[in-house]
Amino acid sequence: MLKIEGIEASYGPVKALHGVTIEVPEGSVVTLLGPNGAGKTTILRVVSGLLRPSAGRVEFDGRRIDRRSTEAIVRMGISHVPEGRQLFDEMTVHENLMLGAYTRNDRDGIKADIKRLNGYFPILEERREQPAGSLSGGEQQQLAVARGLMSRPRLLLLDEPSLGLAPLVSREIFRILRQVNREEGITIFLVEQDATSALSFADYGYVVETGRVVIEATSDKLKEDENVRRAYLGY
Amino acid sequence: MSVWLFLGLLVAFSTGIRMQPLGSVVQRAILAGVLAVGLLVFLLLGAGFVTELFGVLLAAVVANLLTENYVPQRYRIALAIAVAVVFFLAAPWLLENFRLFQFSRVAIWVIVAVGLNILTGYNGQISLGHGAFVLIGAYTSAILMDDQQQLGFVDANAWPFWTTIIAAAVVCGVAGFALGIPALRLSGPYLAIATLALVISLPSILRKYDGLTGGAQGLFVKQPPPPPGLAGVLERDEWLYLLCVGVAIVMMLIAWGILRGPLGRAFVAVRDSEVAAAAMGINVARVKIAAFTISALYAGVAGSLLTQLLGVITPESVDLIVSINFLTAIVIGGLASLLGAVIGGFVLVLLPAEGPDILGNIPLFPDNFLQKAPGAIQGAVVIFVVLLMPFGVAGSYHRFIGTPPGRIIAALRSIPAGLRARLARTREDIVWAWEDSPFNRRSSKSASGEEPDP
Repeated sequence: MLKIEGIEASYGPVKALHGVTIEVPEGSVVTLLGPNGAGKTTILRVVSGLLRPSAGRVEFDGRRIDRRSTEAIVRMGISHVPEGRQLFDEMTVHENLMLGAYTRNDRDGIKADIKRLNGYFPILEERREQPAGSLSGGEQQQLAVARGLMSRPRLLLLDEPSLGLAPLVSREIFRILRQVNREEGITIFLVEQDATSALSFADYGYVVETGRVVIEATSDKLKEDENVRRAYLGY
Repeated sequence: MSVWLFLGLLVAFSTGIRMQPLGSVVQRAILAGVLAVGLLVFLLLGAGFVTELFGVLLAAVVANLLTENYVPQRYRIALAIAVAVVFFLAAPWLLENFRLFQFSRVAIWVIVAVGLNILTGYNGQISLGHGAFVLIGAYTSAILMDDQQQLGFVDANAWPFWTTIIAAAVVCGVAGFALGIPALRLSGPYLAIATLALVISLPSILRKYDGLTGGAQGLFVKQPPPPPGLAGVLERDEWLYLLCVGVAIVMMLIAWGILRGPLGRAFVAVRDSEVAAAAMGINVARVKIAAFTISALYAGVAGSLLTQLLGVITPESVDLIVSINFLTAIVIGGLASLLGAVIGGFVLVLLPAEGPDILGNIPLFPDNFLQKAPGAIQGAVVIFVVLLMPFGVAGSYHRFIGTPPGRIIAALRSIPAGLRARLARTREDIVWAWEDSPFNRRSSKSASGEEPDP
């Protein structure tokens, strides 16, 4: 579904990616692991069009997207839930969800989707008219994911959904994400620091270090890999 | 005065103000009492126009506090709208002519403030140069309405006044669009300075091309007479007043519609986080340019009305100070709030006109200070508002009606203690600053002979 081939990208003079190749098959959950500053977030930014790669190509459903605008990419069915949630704090929960549906015009469909998402995220219905900034961390992350789903994506890019959350809360988020992946058939491409949760959730994983993919394997294999275990799983 | 009291009672009973339903009858009564005392003090300051206006608003809040539990809200809102419409339609007969003129100007500045608030309040792009768009709109109208054949290449037939309002809107929309593109590369103070350059340079350009603009003398236009059906009923000034207020109301409704829709949400989203907005599939550049275009269009409409109202337009009609004051107005009124824009419009006109009178009524207030430094009042109000009401008057109003009466009373009671604490802190800060300062010869630092690095 998503093919990233040899992309390179830089922030000004600093090169962040040195030829990264990744593939995300339809319906799967793929995770990116790696230390801070490895370029995980940069990869997501390139996929969603927030950053132009200087070389390489990104394909979605066989169509090249690395020269397209973020707007066009969202319309094609890729939704990016950015790092640190990036909610619109002063706006209500409902307004945040409506912004997630910005690219759509079907009013009834939007209404139906909000209703359906309330099934996954019941807390959001309760908090509907509250400003997003007043929610707890876990609720905010739920809202960020729900907002990302409002554009009806087929591929969801998640940047560290467990960031700053208590283990129990992040487990709940992953439970919901698995449900979304299975029931809605949405492919998930996930960046995560919490390797234990990520590997138990994902089918396949890539380990990125200093802008390069150093290991790739199925989650089960990664869990057994000596280096991955020592560096990321801590046992 | 009696007219105002009568209206005040009507408005008071009818406004759709929704107080927090929490709070006991006693708490409400106490709060109403406090406000009523405030009202009394205000009225004692003199029967000036602004004191009456404030009095009416305070009376409205008091009456709402006392009656809210007994009158259903939908009746209040319906009655409030009815009262507002009746008042604005009846104003030509209720108010003296110079008040009508003042209100016409309020309506015009409200239109500018609404437009500027869309750009600055909702979209976060600061413009100090909206005066330039007002001037462009005003000149567009004046040139098109000109029938004295002083202009070489523009059709000598005067356009009907209302078509020039639309033309001014279009011309300014295009100008705003054109400025919105380079503005994409600027933000914050840089954008403010760039827009300032616009309003500084425009008047001299207008003077230079005097074949088209009439140079420093400006252009005179024939003010539109009342439409045939109303000719017997209305004088010209009354008709102009209704025109300005009518257009202002229409522009408010349009803004309200835009702001509660997807584009309005996109404005705020782009202001709060461009990255997150882009991730939502919002075309950030397009949204920012749209804000500039709409905002300039509003200023253009206002400029056109200004030409009709004044009958003359010169390069100095909207100067640098006025242009900067537009921003002041929405900051005082309340950023990102339509109510704030309306309050801002009133502030722009009434503060300089009525401020000295009000202060002059305060016993022992030095009169000659007011006569010699009228701008100081405005400065004081600005400082007062940004210190005490960070979200403007509208923001404080929303907070007031959103807070249960019990909490407001508690907050009022804690004011003296809070002031004492702040004073003590300030005194400590001053003492510390003095001890560390190079002027303090007995400071421990200089005594130890420590030299700062060169």
